[in-house]
Amino acid sequence: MKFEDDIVNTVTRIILPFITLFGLYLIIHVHLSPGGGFSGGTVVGAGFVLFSLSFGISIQEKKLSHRTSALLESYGGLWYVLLGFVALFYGYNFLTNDPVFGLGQSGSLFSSGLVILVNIGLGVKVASTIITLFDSLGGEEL
Amino acid sequence: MNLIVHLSVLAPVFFIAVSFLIPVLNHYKFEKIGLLSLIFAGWGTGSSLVLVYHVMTRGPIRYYFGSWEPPWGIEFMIGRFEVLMLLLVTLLYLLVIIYTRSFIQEEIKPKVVHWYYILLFLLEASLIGMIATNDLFNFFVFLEICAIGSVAIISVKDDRDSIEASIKYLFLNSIGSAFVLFAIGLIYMVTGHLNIPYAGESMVQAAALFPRTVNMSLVFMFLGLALKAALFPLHIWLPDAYTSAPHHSTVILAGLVGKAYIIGLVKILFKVYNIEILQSSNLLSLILFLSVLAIIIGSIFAIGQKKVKRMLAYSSVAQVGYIFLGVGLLTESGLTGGLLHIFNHALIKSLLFLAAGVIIYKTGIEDLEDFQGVGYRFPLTMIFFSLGALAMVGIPPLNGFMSKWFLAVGTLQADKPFLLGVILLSSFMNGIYYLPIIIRSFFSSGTEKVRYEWEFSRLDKKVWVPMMFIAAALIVSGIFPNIPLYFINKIVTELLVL
Amino acid sequence: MNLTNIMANFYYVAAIIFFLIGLYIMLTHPNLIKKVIGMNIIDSSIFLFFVSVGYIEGGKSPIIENPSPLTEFVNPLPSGLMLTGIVVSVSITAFALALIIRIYQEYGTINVEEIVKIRSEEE
Repeated sequence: MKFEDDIVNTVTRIILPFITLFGLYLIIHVHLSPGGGFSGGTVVGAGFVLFSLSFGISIQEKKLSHRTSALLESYGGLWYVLLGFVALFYGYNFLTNDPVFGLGQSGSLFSSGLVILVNIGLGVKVASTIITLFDSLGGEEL
Repeated sequence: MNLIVHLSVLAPVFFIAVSFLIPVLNHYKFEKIGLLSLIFAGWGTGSSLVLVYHVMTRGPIRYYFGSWEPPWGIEFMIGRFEVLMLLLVTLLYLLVIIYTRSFIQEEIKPKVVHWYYILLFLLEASLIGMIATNDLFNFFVFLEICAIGSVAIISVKDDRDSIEASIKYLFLNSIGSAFVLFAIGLIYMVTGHLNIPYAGESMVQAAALFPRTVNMSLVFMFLGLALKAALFPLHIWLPDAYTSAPHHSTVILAGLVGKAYIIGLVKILFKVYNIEILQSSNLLSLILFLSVLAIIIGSIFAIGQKKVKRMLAYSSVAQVGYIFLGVGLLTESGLTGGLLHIFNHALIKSLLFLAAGVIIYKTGIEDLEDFQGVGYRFPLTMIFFSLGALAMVGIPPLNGFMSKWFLAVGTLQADKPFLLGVILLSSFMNGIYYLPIIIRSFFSSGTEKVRYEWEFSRLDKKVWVPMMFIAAALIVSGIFPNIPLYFINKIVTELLVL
Repeated sequence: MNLTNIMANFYYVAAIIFFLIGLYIMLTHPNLIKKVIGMNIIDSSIFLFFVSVGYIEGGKSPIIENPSPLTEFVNPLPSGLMLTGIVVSVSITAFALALIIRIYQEYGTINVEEIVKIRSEEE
């Protein structure tokens, strides 16, 4: 099933890139402004949900299949854990940031070491979780 | 700290990583997920052994995540008691996974087998985390993972009964979590800390300034965790959940999940709130009252049951009462008995459910009436069942006796001989509902005479080796109670002095 | 307890009221979907409570670029904790909805009283 509605389809077409871009912005600017992996990931995931609501689940399945999103979810989590383990090999505790990853200039985009790396993984995880939840709860019948 | 100790402390992280890894492996058509799960569970047990060695030789471990020291960072505190509980959790998990591997096709569809292992490992991570953590909010996060995991291993059976039981369990669990989270918020509001020792320090002042808020948080915390641990009037989810779950899930639910909540509650009651607050509020007498009700009414319900798993479930309600009785007495041997009973009851109940599971899988007998002559067909399994039953009643060489002994001494120390009577009465009641099963299965063979047939050839090694191991642990910890007590004594004095 | 005291802390009062509303819905309403809604109301009330614990009237968001000792910052910790709380709440809601779908497939209804009736007729 899909909504055969020109208005919804056109509006989705126009605003979807901006939704996704805003989500990515939130993820990348985690250490500089409010937001972060979770909020940004939710925005990106919500964009995908909007896409499949207006164009139908079959087209979304072509772009990002259920299996792929479930896989991405796992990779996001594993990436987080893996980054945490990096510090162990330098002799520090799990998830240590400061001496292991360089902190950089405060206020610039590439700073704060671990935080941004972790949040990219988190963003991927949350976005794919939202998509997977939507697909498995109602998507099969849509 | 060297790398091995680091990795052992990080067992919850390891198990969470494992539960992310299994779907990836399944995506690439990896076949031997059962074997791999066995290896992962073995890793968990190995890491607990490393921790036991480390704690016994060098004292308690404090692990700061991200090198952020408390009160800012999340801290794991693993002392002697925690180490014992971690060993219990990981060892039982290893045994249950060995056992599960031979019965998993019976109740779980092949398509979701790998999801079942994922849920088991998520649950194990949360149990280890709840026991080890020293941070209130971190405790809450593990609590929620545990709530989802424990409901999911019931609903994975996917039939009418289990779905209905699991939604009931999920709703009550989420009410419990909400109460706990509210209590944590109140504690944070009055103390400004989430780390348990720091919150405990500030609590002394806070209790003088905001007595109402502190009392409210105490009640909320107790209600939330007592609901999850199934203390008597809040136990309504337990019989359905235990009965309808797959049998190997029931072992974990009955043996470990409720215990982890009680350990968390004991730690928070004595470390965040101090004994003066507990004594000035009426909470302890409430705990005593409810636990007496739990012991007596749980036993009465158990006597009335017709199905074996339901009877064991109501017996769990009574045993939770014992543990809370030990906590509420506030004497040294009472608390020792309560904490020892956590350990003993986990072993006994898992042995009973494992044995009952074998009987149900192999013969389909669920009603207690039909147990006639089962002892002839499955002597080994029924010997294990009887060992568990006798330990539950409290027959001396088995470990159930020791915890009841300590509880009884505790009631006398607290000068409440009435409670001693309750313990004795409930031991008789345990006898009333456990002994007929033993008698029926071994001594009433029905009409014709039947010979004992040992089931070594019929039963997979994976099934009776775990049961044998737990039975041995039952006897060893009964004859040498000093082994668990060595780990428990220290925390009892710590908790009661603070 | 006087009225000004309550007015100064009306966030807390609102949180408690919402908590009780949610609890009442969860315990008394027979419809499972409405029970889930009640669960979400409880969770939201706790989020409101936590966030108002850390909130200061007129406080700035705690991103320190030019630190000056006079500025008051809102405590970021409770908000951060509640982000975790929201994640947990979302996952429990999703799980509950999935279970309700299964309940509907098995029993053909999502009304608790009818489910109890069906079950008692079966036995």
